[in-house]
Amino acid sequence: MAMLNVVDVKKSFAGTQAVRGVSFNVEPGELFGVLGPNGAGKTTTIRMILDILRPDSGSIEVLGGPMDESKKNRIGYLPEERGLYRNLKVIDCMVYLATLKGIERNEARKRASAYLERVELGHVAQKKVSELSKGMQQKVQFGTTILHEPDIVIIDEPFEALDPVNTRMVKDLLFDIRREGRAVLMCTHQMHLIEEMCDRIVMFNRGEIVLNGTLRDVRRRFAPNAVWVEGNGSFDNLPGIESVQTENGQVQLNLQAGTSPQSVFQALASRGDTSIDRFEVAIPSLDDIFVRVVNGERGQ
Amino acid sequence: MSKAKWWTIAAHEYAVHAKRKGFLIATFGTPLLLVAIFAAIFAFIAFGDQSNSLGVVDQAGITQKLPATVTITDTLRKDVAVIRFDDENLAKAALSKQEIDGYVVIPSDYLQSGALRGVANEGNLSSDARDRFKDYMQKALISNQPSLNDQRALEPIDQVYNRKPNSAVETSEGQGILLFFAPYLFGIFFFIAVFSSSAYLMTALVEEKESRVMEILATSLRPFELMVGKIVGLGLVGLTQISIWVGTALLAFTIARANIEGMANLTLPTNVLLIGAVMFVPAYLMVAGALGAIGASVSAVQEGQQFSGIISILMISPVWFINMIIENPNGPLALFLSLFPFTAPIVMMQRVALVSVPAWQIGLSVLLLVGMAFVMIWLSARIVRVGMLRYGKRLTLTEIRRALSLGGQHGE
Repeated sequence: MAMLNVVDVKKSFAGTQAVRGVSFNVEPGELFGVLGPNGAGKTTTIRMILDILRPDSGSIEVLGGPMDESKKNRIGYLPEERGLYRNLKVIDCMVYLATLKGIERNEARKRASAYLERVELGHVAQKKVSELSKGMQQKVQFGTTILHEPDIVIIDEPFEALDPVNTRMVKDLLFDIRREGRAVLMCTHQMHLIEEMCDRIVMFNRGEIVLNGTLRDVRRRFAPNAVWVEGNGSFDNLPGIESVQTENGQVQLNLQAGTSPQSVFQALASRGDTSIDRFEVAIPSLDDIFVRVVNGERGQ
Repeated sequence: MSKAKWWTIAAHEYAVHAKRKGFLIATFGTPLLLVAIFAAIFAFIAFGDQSNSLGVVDQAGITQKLPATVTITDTLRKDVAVIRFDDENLAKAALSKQEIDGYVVIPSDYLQSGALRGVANEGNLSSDARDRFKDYMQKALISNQPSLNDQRALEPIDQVYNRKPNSAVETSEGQGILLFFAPYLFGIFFFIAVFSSSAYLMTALVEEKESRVMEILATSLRPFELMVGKIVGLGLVGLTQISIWVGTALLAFTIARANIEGMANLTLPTNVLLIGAVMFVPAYLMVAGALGAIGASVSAVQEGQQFSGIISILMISPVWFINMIIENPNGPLALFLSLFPFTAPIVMMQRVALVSVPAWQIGLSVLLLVGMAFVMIWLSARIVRVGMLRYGKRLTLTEIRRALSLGGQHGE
């Protein structure tokens, strides 16, 4: 059973189509990445999944059926536009928001305390939210998203304002959720984190999904049929090479159709005057793919 | 509806707002402030710019049947002694020794001319002194009418007992004053409790939008549950506040009645309290609904306060017409204001204190208020649904109109 199943969903606001027939699904134990430029329809789609907005057409199934009130307690949401009760104590704020997700008060307090200890914020439990740094608030906010142990966690820019140490902490929490067979749907512009963490991705552009699949598949679709080489000696006049580009000491050998990277490697290795420090099949970064997609490319 | 969630919201709102310094100061400070204000008013009336003693030099011989010193009394002002001097030099000496604040000479042709000659250090007799001399002169003139009972002639009205046309229950003059002040005071309590609780609701909604907590709430419960929770929680805050105020007023009244002779026979107009109690909940729901809708429509607390000012002016507007209402409590203006939901509670409390209000008018007034409360809650639930996630700019009239026509559908 898919945790989330979005089928051909459309939504318009005052004549403007914000979401145009979007379909994707998220499976249990999956970290699912959602990419796209600002205004591409990601937040509107998430709000439809959460039943804050209703789609004009299409269907959304959450945890095996249509969204209803009982399922709200099984979803954790960290919105892009986020905030906490600034005048409440950290622990009280977390407990209150957890009780709204159906957790009994004492249990919520226990979980909140344990969470704060885990993310090294135990000492601020009795402080007001407004007294915390932005990074601390972000960790508290993340805690309110997962305190009720939701089956689906939907997070929008979860690493904003976090330093590398805290980013690692939140990543570990997300990996734990995945390990437990729950699902995470993550929106972020930090491509390296998507590359590092996500099993599958969708990319939105102008209300449509323009990419959908595993990271490996997506990258292959945009791979230029080339290899990157670093080393000493000449890389010219190799068989099956269409052209050679050099940038920042890295050489890109663009292959002719039908030429395999292995044959190029063998040809290089057999040359006595050339030493190879690095040989890599050219696969574009998600960052490159993002820019290319936004500029209208769809891949092969 | 999940009872737990709206109740969680209600309990949270109550706990947060009932602990606020502003609430505690208002709740416990208001009775003290009102006591201070009333004390100051009475002190001003009783002691401000009033004569202590006055003098009279009678050259016309019309005060001989009066005692040498006559005490002039007044309901709200202190008693003043008017002392007769045999000649003006004695009066002048008393004035220079500040034994009296001024005196009048009654010239021998007074009965023909009606003129008196006033003498005071400031050059003019105070208005209070003039009032007292007027009383004194009436007493002097009446004392010269032999056929009248002297005592009754000197004190023509000792007490006025009032009653309603079809009632056998009579009220004293003091009771009349109480019947004016009690609804006035309870009206003020009512307005402040209803309006401040509703204003908390509006502020809480706008702050949750401003702080972006609203989006978390939107994914945890339905807008209707959110509104019910907030309205119940903050309604209880208002109820706590008005209970403390009314309780303090009743306690003060009970203590005063037990210890002040003039108040022993006074009874509180329980019908005013009853009307207030019946109308409190629907009035609060009506105003909370209106202010909730405003809170969901605007993007900043300040903006919300501007709009809520219109509601507060509507509610407090009966104060402008208080004289007309008291003069004619069953007149068309009083009737209209006691039926119009936003002014009904305060005006109806005033009317039932003064006259017998027909039961159908009270019934219709409560019915209209309850109806308006439903309309306002319905409106606010619709607007909250659309406006709760609107950040940075307020809803336009077109968007509000669209929200109202959306039915159960979500939209933006």
